[in-house]
Amino acid sequence: MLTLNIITELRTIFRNYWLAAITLILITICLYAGWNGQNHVNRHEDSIVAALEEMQSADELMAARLDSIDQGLEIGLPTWQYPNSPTATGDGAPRVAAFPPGNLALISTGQSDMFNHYVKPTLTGDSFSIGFTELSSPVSLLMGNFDPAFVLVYLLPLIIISFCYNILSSEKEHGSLVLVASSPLSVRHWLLQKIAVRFVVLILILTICLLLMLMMNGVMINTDALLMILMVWLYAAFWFAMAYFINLRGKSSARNAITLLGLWVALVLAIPSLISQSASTFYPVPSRALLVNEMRNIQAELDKQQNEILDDYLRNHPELITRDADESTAYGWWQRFFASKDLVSERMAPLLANYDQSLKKQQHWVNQLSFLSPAIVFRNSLDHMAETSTAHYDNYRQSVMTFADEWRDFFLPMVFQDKLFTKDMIAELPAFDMERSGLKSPVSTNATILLVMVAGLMLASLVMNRVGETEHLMQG
Amino acid sequence: MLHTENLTKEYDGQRALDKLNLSVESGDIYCLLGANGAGKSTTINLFLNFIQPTEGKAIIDLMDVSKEPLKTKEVIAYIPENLNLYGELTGLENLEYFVGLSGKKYTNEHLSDYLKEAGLQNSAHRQRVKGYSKGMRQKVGIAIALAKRAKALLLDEPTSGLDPKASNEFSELLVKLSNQGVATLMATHDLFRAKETGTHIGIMKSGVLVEQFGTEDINHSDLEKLYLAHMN
Repeated sequence: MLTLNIITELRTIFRNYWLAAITLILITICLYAGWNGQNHVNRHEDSIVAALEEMQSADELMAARLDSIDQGLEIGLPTWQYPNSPTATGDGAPRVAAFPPGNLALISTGQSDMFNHYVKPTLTGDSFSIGFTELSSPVSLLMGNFDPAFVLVYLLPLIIISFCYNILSSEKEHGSLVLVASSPLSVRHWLLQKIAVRFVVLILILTICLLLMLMMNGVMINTDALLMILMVWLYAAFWFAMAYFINLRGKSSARNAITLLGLWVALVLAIPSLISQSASTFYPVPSRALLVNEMRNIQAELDKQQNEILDDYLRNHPELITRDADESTAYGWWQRFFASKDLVSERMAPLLANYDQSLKKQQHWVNQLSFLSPAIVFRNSLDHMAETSTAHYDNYRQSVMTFADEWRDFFLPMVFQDKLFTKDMIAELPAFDMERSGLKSPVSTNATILLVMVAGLMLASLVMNRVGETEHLMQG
Repeated sequence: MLHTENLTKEYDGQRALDKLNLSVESGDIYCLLGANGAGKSTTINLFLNFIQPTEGKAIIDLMDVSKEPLKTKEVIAYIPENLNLYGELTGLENLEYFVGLSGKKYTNEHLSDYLKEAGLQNSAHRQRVKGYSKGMRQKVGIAIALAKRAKALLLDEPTSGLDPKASNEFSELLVKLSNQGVATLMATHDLFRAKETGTHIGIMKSGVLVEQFGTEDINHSDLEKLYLAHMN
């Protein structure tokens, strides 16, 4: 029966305008979303390339100026901006700490809209408040971006619903179900075979569309790309299993459509919003503006105690003591500045820890409740594979903060020991390297959650109304 | 071949079929007459296991339908009032599919032969069914019964809406199947066709089988009088 059912279902599907329409819709939206996602990635890459080019030009100019200074020539700058001054170079020739887009970045914009793709930590800047700006577009906030993730998370279930909502009810309403039900077979198994054929057909079309979209945008088809496609299959399988379950209730096509659309609203829109809202309610994150304000207050308070602070600081860092430094020299000013900067950082540490902790608690809360919505689980996986997840940007922020400290530690001894920056040191300047090894992939866990959801729905479908199955299906 | 023992069906306390006892042997064409709601379709649906009996049994080929629904369906064929096949498939493909669901497999030539035997002209075999008339679709139904080699045929008002010629052709096919030993239970409103085609007639009223007799024991006029008497 299986082969016959497959052949007949394929004949029916291929002779129906629906398949052509769905194929056309899928190709159009996948390619457009891919193009859109790639545009976003290109802007991201372009901004990093421009920053790196600017840094290279600045380095060349700095080297030339250092040469001129060595030769005793005038460079046309006030002395405090001379590149041999560690404070001038530490602030004026920062490295680009970039977060380049990953191979699959185009599939999900994720958090990449909300954060900078590169920052330039400076010697005197505040490493903990490095410019991670908030999302500025309310339209994007409302709708999200039309990227492949949007197509897959939001639109794909609607396409599956339109493809399968009436797979049994239409047979009942058309009258062909009575002929099927008068045959020696289980209608439940017969329907399962029909829906499985549709699943394979849709998955095949979707996979071709996705591969086409990836290849057209120059994405390497590696294990991650194949894993992404596998996750798409699982997410699609969930919606097919849901359609199977709803069809087996034996209700009318209209009722099936309304029920499935209601479930789509609940699982894709309402539950994720409620979880997100509850995360902000239960674990509120302190405002960034408040953090900056607090930092200024601490700074102002410490400015009043400069001498005491420097004494304490040098007591703790005897290696940085220099005989010539006092209030009357520029170095003396800088020493006081950095000494108080350290103290600000210390005082700010609990506030920042609280900020980070709240973010982590929010993330934990969302992760814990993600099993309530396949859309969250799937979206989370796509963001991770696209390297645009919150975890990726948090990891990037941590890497930047570590690098900012490294940058400061490179220049600080020169400031305190009254040493000059030389041309040879350009090659020794710390370079930013993003640490990715600490990131734990949620994909396998998410795949398991989706598998359990699919298995649960299938199990429920196979045991539901077993007694009087045909009567139930025929009468509704 | 087809038997019922005190077969009863209630819907929300309302009795649609009341202790029905009937027997259709191989080669019989048993016509069930009665007004709408008399219990004719309920009887057929109980034989098909589309509904569960409240009491009693429907038996096909000595098997209780409720206990062995799939096995009993192996030996029956069903033609409803409106035989709705898959419009996007041809007559041949529909026949291949519905016969295949019963586990039988034939070559296209054999399937064509069955369609021919059922009276469907050759040119229609490879046409999509959405262009078929009702009579043509009913013939595919007969072809399904022929190809399934069904021992029993359940028909629910199969000639309703057919023109007299198509109705007559359909009756001839039923007689042919009857001669091959197929037991037929047909619910119908067509008194003339029942008398001409059937071997037995049963009249149902409010779920009760109020009369049953052989068609040779009654003429057209008396049948009509008897039927109308029960309808009043």
